[in-house]
Amino acid sequence: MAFKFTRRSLLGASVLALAAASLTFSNTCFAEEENTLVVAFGAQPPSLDTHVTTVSTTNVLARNIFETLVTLDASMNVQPGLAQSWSVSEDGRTYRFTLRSGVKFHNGEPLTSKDVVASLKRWQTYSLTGKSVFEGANWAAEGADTVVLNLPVPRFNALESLAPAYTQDPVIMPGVIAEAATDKPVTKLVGTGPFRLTNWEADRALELERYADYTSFDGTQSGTAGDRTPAFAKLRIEFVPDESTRTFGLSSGEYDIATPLAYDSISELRSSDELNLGSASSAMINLGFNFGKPGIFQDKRAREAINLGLERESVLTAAAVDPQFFRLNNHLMLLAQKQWAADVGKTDFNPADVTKAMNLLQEAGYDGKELVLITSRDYAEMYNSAIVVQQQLQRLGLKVKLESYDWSTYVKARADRQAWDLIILEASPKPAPTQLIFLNKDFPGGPQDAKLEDILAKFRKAGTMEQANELYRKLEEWNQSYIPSVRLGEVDFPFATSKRVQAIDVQYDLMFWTARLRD
Amino acid sequence: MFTYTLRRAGALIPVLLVVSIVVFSLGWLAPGDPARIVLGPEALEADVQKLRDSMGLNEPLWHRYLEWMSHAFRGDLGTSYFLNMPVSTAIGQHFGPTMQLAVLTIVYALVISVPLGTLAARWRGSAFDQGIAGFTLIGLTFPSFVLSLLLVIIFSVWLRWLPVAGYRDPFSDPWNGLRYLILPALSLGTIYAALITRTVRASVLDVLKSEYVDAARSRGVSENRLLFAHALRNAGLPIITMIGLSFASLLSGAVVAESIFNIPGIGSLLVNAIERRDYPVLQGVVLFLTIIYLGLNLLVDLLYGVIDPRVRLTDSVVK
Repeated sequence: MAFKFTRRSLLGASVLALAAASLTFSNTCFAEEENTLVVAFGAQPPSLDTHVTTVSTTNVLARNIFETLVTLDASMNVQPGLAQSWSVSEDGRTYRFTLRSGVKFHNGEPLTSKDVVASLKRWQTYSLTGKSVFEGANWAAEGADTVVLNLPVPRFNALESLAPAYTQDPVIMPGVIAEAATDKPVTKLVGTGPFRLTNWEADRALELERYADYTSFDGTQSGTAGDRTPAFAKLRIEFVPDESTRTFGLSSGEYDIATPLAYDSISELRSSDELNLGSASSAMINLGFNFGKPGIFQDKRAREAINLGLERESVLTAAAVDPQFFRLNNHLMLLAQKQWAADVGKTDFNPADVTKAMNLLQEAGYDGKELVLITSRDYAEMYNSAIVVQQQLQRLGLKVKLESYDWSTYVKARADRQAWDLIILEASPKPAPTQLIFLNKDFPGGPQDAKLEDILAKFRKAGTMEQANELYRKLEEWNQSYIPSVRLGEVDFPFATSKRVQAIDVQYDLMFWTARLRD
Repeated sequence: MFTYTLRRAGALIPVLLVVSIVVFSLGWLAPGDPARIVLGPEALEADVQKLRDSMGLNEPLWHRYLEWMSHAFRGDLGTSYFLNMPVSTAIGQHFGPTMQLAVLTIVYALVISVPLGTLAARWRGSAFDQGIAGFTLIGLTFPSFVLSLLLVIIFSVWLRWLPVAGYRDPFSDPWNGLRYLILPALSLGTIYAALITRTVRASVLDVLKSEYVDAARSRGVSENRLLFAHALRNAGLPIITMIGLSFASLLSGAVVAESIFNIPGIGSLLVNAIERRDYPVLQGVVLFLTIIYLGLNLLVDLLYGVIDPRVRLTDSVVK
């Protein structure tokens, strides 16, 4: 009998199809990939070459592949890395590093002093820290396992600067690659680290596997120091630009870690029993003035008015939503950087004194001219804080126009000194105050002040930590009196892990090799 | 027909030239700096300028355009600033996922739309027909990103049947490859299913009114055969046009779905190139998509002649 199309047969077919689908897929929920840590990562960095790029995500990913001469433990003390030990000459100008024996690059070649010298020379040439701390320094190889660093003057932070940082790690790569490389990022990614890169599919994923011939550092793991042997075999970093997709994937068990997460998803994620919430990689949020453009903010009273008039708590709440992820801080360095503790200006921070601010603006002769505040809409914390800052500035009687751009346009606009008066800056933390980007006179709109340059010049040549601390105190005093920018506070970036991840450590950012998985 | 095809293909050249000039100028007019993107937000201006020099970005625009064109004519679309690979390789890598998603979407849309559209025409005015009208209305008006998120919540987060996002190569891992493409195909395909269902229903209705259908019915041809073998085939031209246009737009415009489902396709390559100011990729992808779009249009025109013998393609007139 020939088949006849009827409405009933159509309904039957639909029910059958649904039943078949449920049977087919019901047993295919995500089998956790054994021995693999899967990370949903927000953005693909332009390269994994930390010598040239200042992008922080480059650092987070590169330090799984590459290693540094020294490391920092959980208390931020310098510990051995690829250098097993070192000695410092009495005058503090010569460092002699002895390399760890048996270390091999991922291409099978042994690590030698020539590789270290070539890598650090390149890092010194191109990185901000390299240029700032090691200006005039000389690197030399002595035999196969000794590296000698000669400094023109002693530097209090020479060792710390060779350890992993928030950006631009001084990583060691094979000498042939470092010598052939220019200011363009290297594409041959060969390190000595706990993971070996097996595949990088553009805009999709980075696949790494535990390096079989890995020679770990001595001692138990602490910070980036100690044993770095991963407890799992594979690491897959999936680039997932969409925030909601990262969150959904974590909830469905597809990813073990999602980073970073949207601030407004925190309360929802916190209520889930299946996930753990954490924070990493703080950033400083400042309201910057444009010193490259004549205007009201050349008058210190106008800058002081903004500093006194802003109510920072509501700005930071708009930026990072949950108090777990923001802190008020009027100091140049992060609160977590305890070696740079200063009590300067603790008492009169954040008074939110609108009347005094308005009086100061009047004294400075504000004539109602429209001021342009620029920010980027690509980063929620920057955009949201700009909205509140604009409202508060208008309450002080300023006429403020907010211009928000995508990141590339924001950077371009920032470089045009005539295009803006005020700017929301998100600056990455630095190991030493001398490297802070918003104190750099060459940074667009940066402060041009002889006293600042004098303090910074002395600071860069400080030989001991005591001298550095004294100069830091002077720098803080200058900062709070001159007000080159208004410190709003610091924010952390939220990440979450599934229950499968029992533990993972953070130093500046996530250290994936420290993850312990349930299976 | 051969001469006609040649003439149409030749007409692509001026179009491509104009497109290349427009895209090149847009890249120049858009604020932003690829060297800054590569070096990061905190790099000093002096370092950025040095990299701009070595990337050739400080050359005059016309000089860069001519150089790019002369390479493009030889099939070399340049090297991506951001991805550090030839643009043609980047396009090749990203086109595979887009193509697979487009094929699956169209297959899904056809499997839904052809029977539903035909049966809606057959049972015109019935509750079934009205139900289909409702489906097409919702399918056409429901925003695809909302549908995508709904599908993800239901099938991935609640039921855990399908992955939330990502991509696996179906040629090396067919089962997983398919699973990753199902939700994006469902979310994208629903709008095309609705569109094609409407076209099928309208075209089949037209054909069913013809005298030759009455004649066939009077000869005792069964209803199913009449509907699917006679009416549907003769209603083919508008349907083919709709499929061709849908396919072309899927190959070039699945940006939202690729973004939500994290598929490394040509749409996300284009959006990323804009965000990263990766001009060689931007220019290469737009040229490539123009060729694809125009090529598919030409293919649809040629198919007319194959499907309907009354349509004759000559180099002077298309009848």
